[in-house]
Amino acid sequence: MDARQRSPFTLAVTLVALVFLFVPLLLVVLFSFHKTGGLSFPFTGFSLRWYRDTFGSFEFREALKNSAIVAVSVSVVTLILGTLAAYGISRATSRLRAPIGLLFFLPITLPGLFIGIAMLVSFRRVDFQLSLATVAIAHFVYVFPFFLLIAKAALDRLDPALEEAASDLGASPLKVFRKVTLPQVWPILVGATSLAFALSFDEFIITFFVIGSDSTLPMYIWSSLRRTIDPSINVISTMLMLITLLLWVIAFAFTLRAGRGRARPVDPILGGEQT
Amino acid sequence: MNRNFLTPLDRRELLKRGLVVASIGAVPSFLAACGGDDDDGGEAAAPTATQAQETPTVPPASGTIDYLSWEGYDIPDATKAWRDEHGVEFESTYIGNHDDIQARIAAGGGSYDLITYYQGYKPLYQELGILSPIDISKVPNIDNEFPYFKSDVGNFWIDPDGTWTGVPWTFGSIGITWDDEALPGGLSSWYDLLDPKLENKIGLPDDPVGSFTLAAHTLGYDPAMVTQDQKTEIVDLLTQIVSHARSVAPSFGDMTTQLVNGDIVACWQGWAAMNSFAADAGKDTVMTTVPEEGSFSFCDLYAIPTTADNVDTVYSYLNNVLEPEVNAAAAEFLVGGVTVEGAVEFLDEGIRSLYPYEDLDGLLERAPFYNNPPVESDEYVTYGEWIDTWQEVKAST
Amino acid sequence: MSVVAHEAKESAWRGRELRIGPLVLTLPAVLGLVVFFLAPLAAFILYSFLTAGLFSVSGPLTLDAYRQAVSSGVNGTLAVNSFIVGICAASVTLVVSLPIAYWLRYAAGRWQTLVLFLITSTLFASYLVRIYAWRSILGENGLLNSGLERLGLIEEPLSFLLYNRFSVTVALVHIFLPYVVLVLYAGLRPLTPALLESAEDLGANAWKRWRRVILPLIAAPGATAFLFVFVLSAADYVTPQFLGGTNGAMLGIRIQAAMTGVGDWPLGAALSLLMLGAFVFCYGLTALGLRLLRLDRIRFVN
Repeated sequence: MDARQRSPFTLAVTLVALVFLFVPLLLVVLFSFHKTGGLSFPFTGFSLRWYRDTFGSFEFREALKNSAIVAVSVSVVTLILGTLAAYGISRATSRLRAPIGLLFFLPITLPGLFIGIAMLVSFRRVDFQLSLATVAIAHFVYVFPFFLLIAKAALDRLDPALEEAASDLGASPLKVFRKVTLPQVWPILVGATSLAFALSFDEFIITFFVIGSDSTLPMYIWSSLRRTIDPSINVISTMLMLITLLLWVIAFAFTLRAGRGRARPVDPILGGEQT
Repeated sequence: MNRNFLTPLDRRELLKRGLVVASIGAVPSFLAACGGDDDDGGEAAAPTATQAQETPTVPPASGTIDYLSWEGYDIPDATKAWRDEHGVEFESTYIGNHDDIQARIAAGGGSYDLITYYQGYKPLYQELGILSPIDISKVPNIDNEFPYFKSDVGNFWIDPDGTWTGVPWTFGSIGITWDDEALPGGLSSWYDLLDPKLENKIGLPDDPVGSFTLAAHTLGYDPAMVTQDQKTEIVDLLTQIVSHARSVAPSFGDMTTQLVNGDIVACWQGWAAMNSFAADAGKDTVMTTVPEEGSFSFCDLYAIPTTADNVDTVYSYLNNVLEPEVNAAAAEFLVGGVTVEGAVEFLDEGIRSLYPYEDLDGLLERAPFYNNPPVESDEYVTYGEWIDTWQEVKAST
Repeated sequence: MSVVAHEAKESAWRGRELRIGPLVLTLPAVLGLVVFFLAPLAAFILYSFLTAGLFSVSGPLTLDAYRQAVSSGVNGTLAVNSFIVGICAASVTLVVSLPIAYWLRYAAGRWQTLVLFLITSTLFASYLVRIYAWRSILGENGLLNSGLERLGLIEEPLSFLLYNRFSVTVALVHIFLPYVVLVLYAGLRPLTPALLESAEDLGANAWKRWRRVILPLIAAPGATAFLFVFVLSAADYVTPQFLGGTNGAMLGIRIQAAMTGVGDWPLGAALSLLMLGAFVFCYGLTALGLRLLRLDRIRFVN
């Protein structure tokens, strides 16, 4: 049944919103190709000079490398701990489930400012030197709830009958997980990991407080904002957006893929069946 | 607690009586006399570089220097030859605010090898234990410096006992920066910034110490010895400036961007280097001048923090920076002043005309070096107290 | 397998007995969060009661930091400002997201996937990038002013677009819009178009459908989203620095300055906790409100 409702008003709002969302970002990309140094109109022409400058910059490459190192570490740890935790919470029936679930979601409710300064103060207290390691730890705390939210939702939606059947047939819990659960949810897990990577890569608010003498890409952008802005900052921003966009494409694609082979179409992003 | 500074009462009296431009002859002897009357010790004269009796040797350089300070003070182009020759890379962390330096080091972040400090921060940094002594015998080029910089009567970079804690390599003076295209001819007094026509069109940087020092100087006070009454006047002046301003820029670079974008036309606590930043961003009509009330100067000193682990390379770097040509190249890049006497001849006309090298002492009288407010004091406004008050001034509109 | 054993297994899953089994798997994550999240928070709370040094703290316990935080008139102004900006950002975002979520759910058809993707992809456009991008749009020589001047609609550039609460709010809305759209869209999922049509068939006009069917469903997720945006906007410290000007300053900057400027950690902690307290109060108020209006238990039986 075609369930489309006609609604010109909401369509208009949506279109305006899309313009609102994209114009600033497209401007950033546009000015990364600016021939001269200014970032205000009029636009004087196209050039790749800022791209050449940026990629030739040692600091930029260092920052990019550091961001990648942190993001990879955070993603791996989050994937492992997060999958375990999601499975545990999802399949558990004990009353401890609620408080643990609360603990897991708590970081989302707190602004990064608070998390950042609380960690700064604590690291200092125990003389744990600020470095990329402290950044990775902070990112894990920040990213974990997001991963858990997605993984748990996916695990909850699985039909328990399959796992029960396998269990009844004598499979150990580990085998059940490997042979029954995992094949069904792995695309969503990949998607969630991709999300974790993107979140870590772009994180600034907490990183600002817990980073040592190294630099990540957002910190590098921050430093650049401190000086007179020229289009090289647009170049870095464009690169950052492209990388995270790519990760989102991966995440999105895997979530959609999770729906393939199902009788009814799957709702993108949220998984589950489309109604 | 270390509270050494040039007897400010004398300087303030001089200024009040209008003896702003002192004669060349009087000033150096005045300074020397004050050095001799200094409370601590009573040494005849401040120590100079030639005290080192051993043959000066510059250590070998290699590896990476972890640098923490203002963007640009790691002068990449000026020191390129040295970096290439020794294969040294800079890993730079740029600050937006001087306090970021002590914040990061005191909070235990990183293994920085090279920092800079504005001369007024010396007492605070010593209290925090950030500065390690500099073995000046490893920087033989220190001999190239102007006499003023080799004999630090303000004890901003040389302790009374002769220990060096900083190496002066550049200096500058604050002034009014404006866009000549929008405001032809510029302004001649700080108070001109409060003209109703400029409402919502001026800018200022988020620099508590700088604003405080400048306001104190303009009102005729010494920022290191401000009473509560004087503080009220300072707060008053700054509140007027802030309410007249478009925004308080997070950094000098950002303030320049605002000038370039046309969001503001003139600045409180501007800086000549902004002329060059703006030109790079495509606007070459930005200018800076020291107005009639004068202003203050800053000397940013290279220093070696206690967290340093590549000290030899830093010594080699410091020595290189005091080579006349390198010092000149640095000054051109920063649109600042040279501290090395022999560097003046290498400067191009525009940069050389920024500061009156033939009468450096005169300039430094109109725009003196000051100390920061003290860390602790019963009668004067303290550093912490001012940082707090500044937050209130900024938000007062 | 015997029927009895099968039943026992089923009840183990669906029952409510105390079984620790699967929960053990959460242990590593729990440990991680306790050590690196709860402990720092606890230390932080403790710090607000200690005496300040320069980037250090010491005993004895004292309420000095709180006294300082509360007695400064400016902190009050900043707090009010933060509150206003938070409310504005959250309201605007929510109001704009509702129609978008509706369209995505019911009117998008085959465009749904693409538009959802587009909207959520902006989630990852770097936070810092967006902030200064708005400067290029709202500034004296920015996109809006240049465009309007070119079209002959204005003679002088509009200077009220930037460096005030307005520009801060615009940037915050830009940041949070995708989140809220997503949350509302998720909230609308149980309400299938078929059900909506039945409501229409039963005589409910558009307004009634909104008020009686959609709004109750969306109340809880909507309130959650509103709170989320409010809290994160009010605590922001970067946006006001670059876009706020002199009257758009917010409390977050004050906290950041206390932490990294003088190193007055007790003050920073005290201010943060006071702010946090206000947020918790808001959370509580909202939860209470939803419960009183009986909107927290809307369940859909499919």
